[in-house]
Amino acid sequence: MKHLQKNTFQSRRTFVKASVSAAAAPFILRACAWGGEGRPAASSRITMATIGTGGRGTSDMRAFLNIPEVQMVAVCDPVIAHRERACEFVNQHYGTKDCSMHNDFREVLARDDIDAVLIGTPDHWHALITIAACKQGKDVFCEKPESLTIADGRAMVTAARRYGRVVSGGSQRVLGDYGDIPRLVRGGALGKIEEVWVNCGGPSGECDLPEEPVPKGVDWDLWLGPAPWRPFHSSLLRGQFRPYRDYSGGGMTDWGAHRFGAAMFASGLHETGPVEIIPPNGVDVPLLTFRFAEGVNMYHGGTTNITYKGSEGQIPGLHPPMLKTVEIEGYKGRGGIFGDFIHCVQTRERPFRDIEIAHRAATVCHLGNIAYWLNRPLRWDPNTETIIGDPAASRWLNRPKRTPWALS
Amino acid sequence: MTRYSKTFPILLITLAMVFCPHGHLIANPPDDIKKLEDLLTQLSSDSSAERQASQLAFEKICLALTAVGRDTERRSASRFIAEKLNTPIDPAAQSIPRNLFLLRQLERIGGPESVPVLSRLLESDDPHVQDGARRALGAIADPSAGAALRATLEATSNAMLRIGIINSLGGRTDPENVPVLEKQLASTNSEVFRACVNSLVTIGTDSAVTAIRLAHRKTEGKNRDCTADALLRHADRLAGSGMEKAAFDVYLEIGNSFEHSPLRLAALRGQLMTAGAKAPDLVLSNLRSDDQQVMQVAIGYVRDMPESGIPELLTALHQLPGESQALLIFAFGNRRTTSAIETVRQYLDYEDPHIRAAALTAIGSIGDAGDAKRLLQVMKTKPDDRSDAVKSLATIRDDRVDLVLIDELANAQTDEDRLAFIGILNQRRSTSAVSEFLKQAISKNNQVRQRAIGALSRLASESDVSELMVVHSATADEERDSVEKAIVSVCQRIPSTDGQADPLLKVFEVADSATRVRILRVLGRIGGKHAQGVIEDSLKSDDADICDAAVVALANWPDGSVAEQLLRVAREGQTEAQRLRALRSLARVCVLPIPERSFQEQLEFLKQAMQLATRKEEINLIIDRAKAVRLVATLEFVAPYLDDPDVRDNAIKTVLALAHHQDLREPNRAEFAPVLQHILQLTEDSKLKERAEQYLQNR
Repeated sequence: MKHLQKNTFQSRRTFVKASVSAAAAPFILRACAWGGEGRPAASSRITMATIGTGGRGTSDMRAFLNIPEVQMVAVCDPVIAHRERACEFVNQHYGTKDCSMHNDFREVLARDDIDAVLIGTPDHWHALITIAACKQGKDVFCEKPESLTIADGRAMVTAARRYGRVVSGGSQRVLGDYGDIPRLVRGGALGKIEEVWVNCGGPSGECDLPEEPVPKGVDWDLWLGPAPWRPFHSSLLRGQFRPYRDYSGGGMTDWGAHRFGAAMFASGLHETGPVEIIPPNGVDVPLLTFRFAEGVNMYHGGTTNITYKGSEGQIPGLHPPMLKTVEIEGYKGRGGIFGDFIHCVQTRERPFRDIEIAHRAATVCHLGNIAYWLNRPLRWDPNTETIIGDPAASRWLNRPKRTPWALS
Repeated sequence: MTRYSKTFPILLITLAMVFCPHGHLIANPPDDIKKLEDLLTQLSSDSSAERQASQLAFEKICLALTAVGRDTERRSASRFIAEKLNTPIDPAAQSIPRNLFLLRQLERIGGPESVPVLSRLLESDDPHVQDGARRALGAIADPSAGAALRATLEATSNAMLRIGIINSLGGRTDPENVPVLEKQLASTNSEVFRACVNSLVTIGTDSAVTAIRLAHRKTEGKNRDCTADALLRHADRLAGSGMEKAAFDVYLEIGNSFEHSPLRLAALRGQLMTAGAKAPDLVLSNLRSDDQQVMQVAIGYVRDMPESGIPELLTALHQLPGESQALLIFAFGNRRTTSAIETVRQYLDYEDPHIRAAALTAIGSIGDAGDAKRLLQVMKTKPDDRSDAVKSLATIRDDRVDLVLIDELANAQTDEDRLAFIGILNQRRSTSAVSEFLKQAISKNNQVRQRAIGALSRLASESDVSELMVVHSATADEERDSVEKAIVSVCQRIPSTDGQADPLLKVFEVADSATRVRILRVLGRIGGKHAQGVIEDSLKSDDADICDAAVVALANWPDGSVAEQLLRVAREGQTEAQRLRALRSLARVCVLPIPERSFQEQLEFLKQAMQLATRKEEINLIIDRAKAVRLVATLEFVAPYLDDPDVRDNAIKTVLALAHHQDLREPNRAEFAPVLQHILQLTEDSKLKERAEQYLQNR
């Protein structure tokens, strides 16, 4: 394995330059920090690796490649065809042959020339790779949904905090799709928020794909990793793992991570969670309902992506105009959520989709799934992150991982 | 009374047995088992759909049995599954995936009754079955499951099984597991050792931590990293339960025993978090380090540290190396420490550009109106610092800054400054700047005009519409579109859709003829019932320009509510140009959804439009718009045009678009099939043929 040699302990001056200039003047870097080709000098760039180079991972990787401060140095995937394609893309982008390929993410994390990793794997790998990366001193951009279980998500937050890493979730739509809506809602344009409808897919279920022979160039055991063993099926490698609970929470966590995340952010509930989750019963509860202690009812369903109803109006729909609205958190730096992450890697600020906030959004989706699966109401303590009075439901909070994998 | 008091509790118990807490009727346990038995047979079906359905139904029954109050039935199901796992009747049915599925069910519903079978399966020859059994046992809270796992751990030499069991024992957090895990720390297998350390710290009792401490002293390399990580986790837990001094000692011990490692940095962070009154000293010491990562830790902590520590940092700020000063000043801004403002102001003129940049940025977060003048001065006199000053002017949280900036805009000497001030005020969402923006919107400089109009679009209100129309009148034709968009944007913020044009209508009432023509153009982009009345009157005007403008307005209408008027103009318009414009617009808007118009009515409009259409351009347009009208009658309307070579391509596309909707196509197969067959004969386009075939075969 060829490792680029880089002194990760840069001089104080370099760090100060990077962090102060990135923060103080996000649209320019100081001239002295720039190298040729309109990019920062090589020694000032943030070196990254992409772990998981299927469709979404590659798409995110391309976004990072367009950020001048980033140098992508490695790609990793247990499917040879995926990593070769990604590697070729990186090399073409830079006009070099420097990008290295890895089968196993542990090789990547062991490299001391890598500052940060992009995790674009299926969901069942997100937590373990994020935690391992934090322990190795890497910052992490992890695609959404950031976790497979609630325990996974909490362990990711704890590792990020313990090791002081910048860990960003990957939902660019919270701000990107909904523009000024969070500002309007938090600014009180709708009065007190009472109800929110969030539209996204349903929960995942058991996988019953037939067995296919494992093709050459696929490390099936590593692809499965912590997920329970099952025979190979090619569609799982083509991004069609979402309907299956061992790898994903289905549409509920896929688009739910975006839309519940956006709804919670706009309603100011993004650092807490519901206290009751009630599945539809065909009688008096037509939609899965999340009750928040703050007096908001959030429903899974509706006719638009997200509908907010407050005491004085609703979105979409009629509401009083509000021009002078509150300031809310936004992306730092430039380049949307990807630029926000890179800016925070430089300045050590918390990113917009900090892992705690991402975890809270994913938790709502996971709780919704558990309520659907068990078809009964759940009571939830968002402070201790425990289900109250239902030990069987609590088993779903932390599903055991396949040997030898475990949360740590 | 006595009679009721005896029978009433019995009645309650009987009812409670019949109904579960959520109103579901409890199935008779033997019924559930019978259903599970039947479903189990279907799990081995050759049909994938049958397998999936039976899996789903099997799982649904199992999960329902986990509800509180259904333990008897749960136990029955759990025993049933365990028995099936234990008794191979039909070797074909005992497939690995089936067994794994059953083990998964026990992971969710298993209890002490399933422990004996699961324990036996820990010895299975198949590693996947073995692991499934281990996971199921791990999930069963009953102590017998823990005992079974411990017994197997001590007996087996299979390293993978040992690791799995160790993980499960950790997850159970049972102190009884500590002695057996402690023994495993002696393993020469690193993976076993690390799994043990992880499980011991997860259990977290004093004896577990003592075992880790002992191991930490003896190990090296990756195993030592692992024990150090575990001790950090232990220290975090101590800190979280208020034992900060004890936690600090652990952090200190780890911090001192590693160099250049994420572990050391984590330990430094922990020290800062638990240092209490000594934290500022520690921050300053770390900021003097040559190691940038140590500096990062210190700055990261400053962002979250209690306010009480700030004065000490402010006092020592000037004694720090220049780079650290810059970072600390920036951090004060980042955490919005207003108590630092006086100190930060002193650094605005520093020679070091990084310190100046940090101070200028921090002012944007913690400054007030008094700082605006200073920032303006920097902006005008120091080109290198201009962008930092501009950014801070946009972010200072003090409304008085708006007034200062409006005054600057009014008196600006250069277009560059005007552009900057408009941008800053727009970013500040300064509604009080609107009247000044209106003046700038007729500036001689194109860029200034455009930027002012952009700001007006965002910040003007309905009371500014008459002034915006003045700007509209004063603007050259080629730039009017942006002013119109600004007016539309302002009007669309009015909650009542019907009344969105009201501010413009007020201006219209008193306007001269030329202005009315201009207003009509804008009205058409806003729409609403109130505006429709004015358009109706204008269509009857003797003034040809007003009449033309009314037709243009109708043609631009944002919804389908003006279809009647357009049809009338298409028939009776004063000029050929008006009639043609109205006809084309009719085809466009009549299929736009409005609540009161059905698909039948939409189609009727299209038919009437078709009667008026004489040119192939309009006929094509009408056929194209028919795609939106999902009726079998639309198919009948379009089908004849398949034989007209001038419009055939569009007719084919419309038929295929209609056929795409399964809910329309399938109930009307008799109507669709011959038309789709006809398309197959008519077209040579392989993609269109493929779609037609797909719909014919109901794919």
